[in-house]
Amino acid sequence: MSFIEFDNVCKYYTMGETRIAAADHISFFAERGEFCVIVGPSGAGKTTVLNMLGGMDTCDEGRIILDGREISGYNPRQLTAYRRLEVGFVFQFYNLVQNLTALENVELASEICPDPLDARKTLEGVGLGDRLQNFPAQLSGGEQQRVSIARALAKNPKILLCDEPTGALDYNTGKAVLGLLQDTCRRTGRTVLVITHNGALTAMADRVIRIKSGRAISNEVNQNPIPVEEIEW
Amino acid sequence: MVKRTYRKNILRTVRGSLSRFLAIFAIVALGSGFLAGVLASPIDMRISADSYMDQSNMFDLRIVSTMGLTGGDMEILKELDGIEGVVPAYDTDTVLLSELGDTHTARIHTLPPDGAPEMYTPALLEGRLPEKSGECAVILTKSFTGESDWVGKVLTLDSEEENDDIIGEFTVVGTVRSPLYISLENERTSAGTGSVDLKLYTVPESFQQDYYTAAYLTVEGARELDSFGGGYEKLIDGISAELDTLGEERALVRYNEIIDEANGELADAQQEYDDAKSEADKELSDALRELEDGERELENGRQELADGKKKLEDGQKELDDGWAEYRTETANAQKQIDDGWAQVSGYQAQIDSGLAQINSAQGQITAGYKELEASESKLAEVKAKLDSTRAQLDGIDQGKAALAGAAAQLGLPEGDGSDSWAIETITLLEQAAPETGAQFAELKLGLEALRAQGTDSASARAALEAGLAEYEQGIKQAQQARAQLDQNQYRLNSQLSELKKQQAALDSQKGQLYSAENTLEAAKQDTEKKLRDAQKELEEGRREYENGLAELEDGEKELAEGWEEYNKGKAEAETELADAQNELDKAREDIDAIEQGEWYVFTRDDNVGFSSYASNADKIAAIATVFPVFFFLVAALVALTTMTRMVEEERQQIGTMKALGYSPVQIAGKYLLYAAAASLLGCVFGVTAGMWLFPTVIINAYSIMYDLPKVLTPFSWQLAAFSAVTATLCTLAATLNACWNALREVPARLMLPKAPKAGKRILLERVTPVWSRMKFTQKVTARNLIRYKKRFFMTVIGISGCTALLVTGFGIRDSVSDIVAIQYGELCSYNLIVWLKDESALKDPELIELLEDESLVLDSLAVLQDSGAVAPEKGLPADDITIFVPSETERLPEFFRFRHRRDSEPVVYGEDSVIITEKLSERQHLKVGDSITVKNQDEAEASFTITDICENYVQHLLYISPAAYEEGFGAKPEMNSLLCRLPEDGPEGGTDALNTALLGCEDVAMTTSTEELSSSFNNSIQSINYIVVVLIISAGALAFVVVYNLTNINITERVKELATIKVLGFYESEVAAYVYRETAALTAIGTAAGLLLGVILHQFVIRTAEIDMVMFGRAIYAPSYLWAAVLTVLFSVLVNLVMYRKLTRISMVESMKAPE
Repeated sequence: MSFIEFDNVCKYYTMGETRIAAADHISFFAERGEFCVIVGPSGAGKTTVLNMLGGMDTCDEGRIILDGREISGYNPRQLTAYRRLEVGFVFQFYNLVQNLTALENVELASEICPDPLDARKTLEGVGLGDRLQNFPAQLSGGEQQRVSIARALAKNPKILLCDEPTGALDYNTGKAVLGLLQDTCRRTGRTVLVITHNGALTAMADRVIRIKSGRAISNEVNQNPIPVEEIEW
Repeated sequence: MVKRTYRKNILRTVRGSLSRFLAIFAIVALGSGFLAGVLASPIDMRISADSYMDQSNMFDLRIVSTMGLTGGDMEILKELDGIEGVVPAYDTDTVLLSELGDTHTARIHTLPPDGAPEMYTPALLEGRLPEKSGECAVILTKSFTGESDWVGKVLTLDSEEENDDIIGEFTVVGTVRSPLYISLENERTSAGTGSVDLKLYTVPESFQQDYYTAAYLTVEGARELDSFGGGYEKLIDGISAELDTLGEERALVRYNEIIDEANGELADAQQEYDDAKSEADKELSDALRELEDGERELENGRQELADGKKKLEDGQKELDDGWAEYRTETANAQKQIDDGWAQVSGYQAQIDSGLAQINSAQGQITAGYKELEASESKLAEVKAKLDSTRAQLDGIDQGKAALAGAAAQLGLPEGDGSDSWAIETITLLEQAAPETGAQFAELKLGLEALRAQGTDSASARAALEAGLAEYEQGIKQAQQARAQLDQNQYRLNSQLSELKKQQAALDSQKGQLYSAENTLEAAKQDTEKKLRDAQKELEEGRREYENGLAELEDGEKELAEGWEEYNKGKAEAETELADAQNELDKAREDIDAIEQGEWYVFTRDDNVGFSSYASNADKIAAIATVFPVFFFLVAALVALTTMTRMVEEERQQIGTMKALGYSPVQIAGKYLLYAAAASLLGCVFGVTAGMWLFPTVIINAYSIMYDLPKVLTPFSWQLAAFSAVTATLCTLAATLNACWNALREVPARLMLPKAPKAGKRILLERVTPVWSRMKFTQKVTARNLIRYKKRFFMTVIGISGCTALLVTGFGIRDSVSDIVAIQYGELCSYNLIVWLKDESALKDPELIELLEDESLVLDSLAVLQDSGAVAPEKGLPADDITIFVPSETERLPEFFRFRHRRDSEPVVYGEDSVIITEKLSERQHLKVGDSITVKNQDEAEASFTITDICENYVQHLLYISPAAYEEGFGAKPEMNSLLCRLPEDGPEGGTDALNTALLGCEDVAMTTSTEELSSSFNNSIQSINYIVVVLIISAGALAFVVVYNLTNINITERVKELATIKVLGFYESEVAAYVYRETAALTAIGTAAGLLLGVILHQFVIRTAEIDMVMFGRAIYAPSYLWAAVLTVLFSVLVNLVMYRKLTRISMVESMKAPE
């Protein structure tokens, strides 16, 4: 059994009279330790998949399994515990708490975990050892995203979910952030799942899943992932 | 049209942000409602009162004159310009007794007579109005309802009052309410207890006075004016000044009338005096003559007595000599007799001893004779014996002879004749010749007998011979002894006769002595009797003398008395005459001094009820200015934070509109309209509710004291407009402030998301030990609190306002309910006050019996409760006080606990103590050591140096000792009441029975039980609870609006942050805590501040609202603080519970969205 498994998962949204299937019997899998990229155009259902995998949303049909456990059957409280203990989330817009310093933002996450990494070291790990006491407003976008990654990592999660992590960043900064994610995956062997509409990123992934209209249309393993620095888009 | 879309936009915005709209609406409704309500309250109080005054034709002016008013005065008044109506009246204060024995200090008013206009019209409650003389209607007031069934009761004039002005008996025909008495405060009077408790209406015919005591006037045009307003005051002042002028004129007329009358009376009096004087002079001279005669008579008597005394002294001397002589003579005679007796008794002793000798000698002689005779008889016996022996022996000899013969015959040997021979012979004979032998048996017996005696006939013969010789000798001696004895007997007899001769001589001597004694005794008795008689005579003389003397003294005394009486009478007559003369002079002077009487013109302000009502309305107005400040401050802050948030949210929209070419005014207009709409709606709602609610509640609360039939709460457009404009301006100013920054920016900048406000370090972070121990969720809270200052102040001020209102509300209840509990529970330990008509009632055995029965009354103390007044320093009120003087100083603390309020430390009350009550000290600015000047009921003034100030809530009191009272006022305190303590479980037979018994005693005026006082008080202060409820509701609403608004803003502003932490895996409760921690902190800070604020507010309200005579408790009890805090927290929690749903509904998807 795979580390991540989506088995005929459906998610419907009712908009007035019409029912839209954001996920339409989607099925895919990914293995532990992989740097996995889910790619697809806007409205393909990438975020829906991420939400369901991240325990932020529930599916209407099918099964979602992570590390042998069926998340799709969890009640809200179990889902919260799941998010708390097993998932690290990196947002497109960093979502840092403005009123906390970089270090405190990381601690915000680590404090609620039973087995967190050291917040300070994690920040040093993402290259922000000298900005620990800065407030988000004092940091650049890239730095903020690094704090966001550090916050996700500090929880010591099984899986790192990234929603367009470079969406709000300029090209170079975006690259650096992706590099950090890839590096993290390699160094810690943690499964990283990145959602993007940028097809260029597939080159750096171990596994590429393509989604269109709520369905997974392909699931390939990239035999030769290349470092992000070498990718141009 | 641009406008339509514009309006649509606004409407949609309202719909889209209903909670925000509601927040502004609610706070404005609260603020404006409160403002309009409390501002309207005093106005409505005045309107209600004014309307009542108008409806009941209350007079505008009252005129009394020092010399009364005549019909002529009335006519003149009627003619005066500006006067609408004139009612002549007889008013009097007197003491009336009810059938039950209650004594009432009553004020009697007369209804307008026929033909006069309606004025101070009573409202009939029961029965009918009085129609003829002797009928009356009782005015019921807040403080006085008296007996329940008034109608039909008879009230009689207290005979001690000597009031000739009115008829003596009134029958109650109805009960009424009167505009003259709208307050529970009693008016003062010089009659009875000093405080009017019963008020009556009667008809003028019940009076027998020849002049009116008052005139009541209404002024043209006054009815239309507000009695409390400036216009009214001006009008009345004008008329009143005119009346003063008129008064001077009329007083002169009256003066002349009175002077003439008085001069006539004076002349009569002078005549009377002159007559009396001449009569007195005559009487006095008669008396003097009589006294002088008496003096002379007395002198004669004195001389006579002196003579008598001399005679008596001489007699006494003679008598004493007589006694002395008598005693010497008798003593001599007695001595002679005694000597004689001594001699006689010596002789007698000699004789007696001689006789004794003779007697003893006689005894010897007689014994000698007896002895002699005994020896003679012995001798005779010896002789007989000797004779018989001789015979016997002779027989034997004869027998022997015979025998010898016989023997011889027979041949028997002859023998020597001896005895043994005889015997042998006989024996032989017997054998030989028994017949012969038998003849000798006798001899043989004789012989054998001899032999048995150891003798024989021969020696027996010899012994016989010797015995005979001895016998002869004995006879001879006996004869000699007899001769001797006879000789002695002879001698003795001669001696005895000698002695008898001597005895006879002595007896005759004794006889002489006895007769001498008898003679002496007779002489003694005789003399003594004579002397005694003389003594008696003398004593009689002396008694007579003494009687004479006593008589003389009596006479002297009588005379002295006569003199004294004469002198006294003379002095008295002189003083009386002098007094009379003085009086006449004084009367003359008085007449000279009769000032032109004066008119006093009173306005409604001089009516106790009316003026205190007005001042209480002013108090409400004072309080009214404080409360709304809160609400408006909070309203402004709520509008500011809300609108700031709104502008921030719509930043891009503002930018777009600006880009589209809307002017800043149009753009700001949207927000201003939004705020104005919310405010105006809030005002409509708030003002409508507030203007009805607050006046109703406040006037109801004041109905403890005031008796107004109807509460009017008319809607005031001015107030409504004022409140609405104030509230709306507040919110608009806040809105404008919120828009300002956004409007100044260029559209391009506005289109960009606003750079998030940078996090800032706060002061607390520098306190590392604290900061490092805080969880950073707490750190976030701390930073947020500091970061959003507007919200901080809005919430803290709002919450503190809420707590303060609650503390005030509960505090007011504590303060007011305190009064009863402390006054009648802790301070006064007596249960009953018995009012006496007279101090002499204390000696009434019936009363004493009741008081001493422990099953009825445990203990009692007579006190004087003197209704006086303070003579105040300039600018201070002339408070009515009760001067409290116990009959026994040291026992007063058993009935009233003297202590300080603040620390409950006991206050020492003793002989030198002058203690005043706390409220009085506050009102008169007095402290220990200051001097207080007071007037007592008789208007005497005295000053005392205050030694202490004690806790007390009802009435102003001055406690002094009887000595201090007497020293101060120059009159002994006359006890007029009794404080009684009743048994714990009530007097035996019930309180009513005791009251009846007490009232049955003569001179008991009435009884008041503290239980009645406290329960009537308790009933009235129930209405205070209205105010508490209103305050709690207001406070709740305030807290609700503020916390709701705060939470609402916090949540909407941080939706993304909250979604993020949800994604991070915070449980719902943790998310809620993340938001609520801030609310909680603000609530805590606000509550703490509110508790402090509440204390201040409570003090302010209590001091402002206090009734003059009553001190409300100053303390707020711990439970009230607790309740205030708990309720505040509860309100806050309630809001948070409501908002919790909103929190849970935040979707995590929000976290994915781009920042605004």
